[in-house]
Amino acid sequence: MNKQNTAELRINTLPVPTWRHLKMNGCDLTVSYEESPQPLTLASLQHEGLLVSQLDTNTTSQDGSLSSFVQQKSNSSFRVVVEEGRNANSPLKLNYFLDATNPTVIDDLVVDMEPFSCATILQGYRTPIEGKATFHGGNLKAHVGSGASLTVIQLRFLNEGTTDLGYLDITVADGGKLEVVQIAIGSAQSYIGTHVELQGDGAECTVSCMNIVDRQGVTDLNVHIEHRGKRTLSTLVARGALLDEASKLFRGTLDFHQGCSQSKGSEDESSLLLSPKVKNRSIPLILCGEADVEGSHAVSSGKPDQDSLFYLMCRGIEERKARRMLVEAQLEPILGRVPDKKIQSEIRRQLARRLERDEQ
Amino acid sequence: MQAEKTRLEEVDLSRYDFIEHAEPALRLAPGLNEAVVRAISSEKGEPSWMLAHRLKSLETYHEMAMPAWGPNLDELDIGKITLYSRPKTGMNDSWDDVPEGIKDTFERLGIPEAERVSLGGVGAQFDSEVVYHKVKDEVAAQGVVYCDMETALREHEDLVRRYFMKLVPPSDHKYAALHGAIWSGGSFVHVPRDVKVSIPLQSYFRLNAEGAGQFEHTLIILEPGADLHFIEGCSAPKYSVINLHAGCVELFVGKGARLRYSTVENWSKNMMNLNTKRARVEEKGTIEWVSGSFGSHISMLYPSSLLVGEGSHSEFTGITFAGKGQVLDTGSKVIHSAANTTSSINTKSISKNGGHSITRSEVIITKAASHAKSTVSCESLMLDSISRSDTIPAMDIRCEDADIGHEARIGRISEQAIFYLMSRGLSESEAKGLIVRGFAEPIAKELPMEYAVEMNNLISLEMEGSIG
Repeated sequence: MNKQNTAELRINTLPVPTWRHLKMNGCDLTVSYEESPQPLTLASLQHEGLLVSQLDTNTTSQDGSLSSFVQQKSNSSFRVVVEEGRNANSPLKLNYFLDATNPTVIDDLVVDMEPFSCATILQGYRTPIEGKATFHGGNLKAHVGSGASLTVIQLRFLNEGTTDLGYLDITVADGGKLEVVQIAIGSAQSYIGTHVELQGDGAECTVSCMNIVDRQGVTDLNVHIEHRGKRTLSTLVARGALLDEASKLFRGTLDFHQGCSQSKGSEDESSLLLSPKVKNRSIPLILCGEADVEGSHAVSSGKPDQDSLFYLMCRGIEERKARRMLVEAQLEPILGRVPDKKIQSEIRRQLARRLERDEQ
Repeated sequence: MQAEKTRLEEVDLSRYDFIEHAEPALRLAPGLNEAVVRAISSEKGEPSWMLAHRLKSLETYHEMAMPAWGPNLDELDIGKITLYSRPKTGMNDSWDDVPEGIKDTFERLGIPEAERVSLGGVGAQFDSEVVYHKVKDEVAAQGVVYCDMETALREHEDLVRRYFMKLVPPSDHKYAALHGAIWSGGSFVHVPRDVKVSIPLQSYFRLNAEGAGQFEHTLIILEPGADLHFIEGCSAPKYSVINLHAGCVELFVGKGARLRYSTVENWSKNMMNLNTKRARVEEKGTIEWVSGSFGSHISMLYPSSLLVGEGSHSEFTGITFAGKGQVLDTGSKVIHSAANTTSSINTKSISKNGGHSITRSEVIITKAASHAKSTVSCESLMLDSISRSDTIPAMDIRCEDADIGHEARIGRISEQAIFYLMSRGLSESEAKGLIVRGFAEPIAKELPMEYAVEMNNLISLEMEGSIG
């Protein structure tokens, strides 16, 4: 057995705290993980159009943040540069498999999108359906230069023994565009933070999150989008389904700073509750220091719509299938943002497996 | 309609911001200690259990930390606040017996006029003590008890002991503990089973003394099937030092009963308003909160509803207007603890001239609350970019067949709407004023006419100088 380590982390902190009894202001975690071999090699990441190199970070910070932890303990560290004006046609794929021989992945990725460049980065984290407890901690730091465009797709298909921590910290310059798609199915506990700063005028971002949590899984999400430049635009969409005894906490913050005039932000979160024992918590914030903006959020939570279920069953569709159709329809806005049909099929298979188990 | 508009424009700020130089009969030295607590209890000739409650609350206050969230309360130094100031009069049930200076204060605030025109009873508190209480004969004949808390403690001790600080225990937060230690004044209402009180009762709280605190306790008990509208008004003159208001409102709504609790609050802008309001609602009972918050330097106020009976219902309708130097952190909480319970929270906030408005809410659906429904709606209007407006709503859902919805919007006055109104002959300031009053209208219509006019007056006052 490899050497066991522990770390104490403070993550997913709400930008503005609220009542302590709600326990939504942030998470103090103690995590344990094994030392593990390097999961990916630089040679496997050579990509036409992107400059990929080993990342060397020398931080000694003990601030308890996930990014400091990852920088110090990573076993997979890369830097990606997309040169000015370059359009990478195919996505850079970083696929990690966590299992008994490689139980820990701590990956640190820095992405520098030079002006008017374009790229897609796909990070996949997968485990066997059943198996040994594994640990993932990830940090992605990116800058999207003027007029550049970056798409980040993160897939997490993890078994019930996995602890999964992730943090994205991305800045977007004038006219830059960012799309983040995060799809997480399974895991014992998952803590994912996303911080986007729309620094430049006309910067845009779309953050889409899909979370399917089952068994006794715990999912804790924190998305914080800061509008600093003028005419910035943000869209945050979250869709989820909770099964068995799962629990989820979603924190979503649209933060309009003074000077970000004519900016717009919207947040839309919806959760399906598929068992009487689930816990669903949400705290969607709008922080506003600028008059000339438009911000909105909407949150809904409940069982699949009974009228729709009745309608489908009246058309001869059996209840189990009708219910699954409604769940898939709920998640469709996120699925549709994944450009690769093969990945879409994989997500649908993962989803079907969870729902079938729920129906048995 | 034309007459109403004229009234709006005739508002005089001095109606609220005047100082009555009334010498108190007793003013304790500033600061909080056991001697102060014992002195207050001794002044009132309280039973020993109440003194024990006060002393225990004082211990709790010292043990509890300051809130780690919300506005910065560093300016509040409890050692500099006069916690008890008794005016030179006892409790009166005739205006003629109220001393001239105090009577003049309430007459300028329009209390006797409101009593004549639209109220079934009125209580008036000046600093730490209630100076006037009167209930109309027809309301008293229904068996309704409406009196000050000190009288209630003497004449209805069993009821007070059963309910006092049971909904808001001193351990709830630091300023609830402070309240438990040094509370003084406030109103007690008991409405018997199936009694419908057709005209509202009102308590008005005036904090006149400089550097002082007001800690009134309001306890309302509605027996099953009862119905009441209770109105609370608050104001204070402006001083250059911090004043503190840490009142407590406990409302018990029996089976099938309905209580509407309306507040139009215009504390002066040196006031720390750290008030706690909570209602417990039994089966098929209804609590309706209507709240207009305009004054204070810092407010932290979140009326809460505990829906413990099946089919019980809570509605919160509130508006906040934060101007220069103000941080108004307001909102509401609802805990659904029984099946088929329903709730709605509708808030509107306006920020201008550097004001900071924070709308905070909490909806908890427990496992027992099957088929619960809750909707939360927050709308915020920013009138300039030196102000702030934050929305912090939290939802904790532990029941799959609950139906929960939340929506919030933030923005500024539409330029198209201003242009439209100006093209119809209104000046820019008139157009903006009209739009802001339209924004507040859904709240205003929930108040009795006199109070809706009062709220519009306050909005008109706040708009002065901000536009045009």
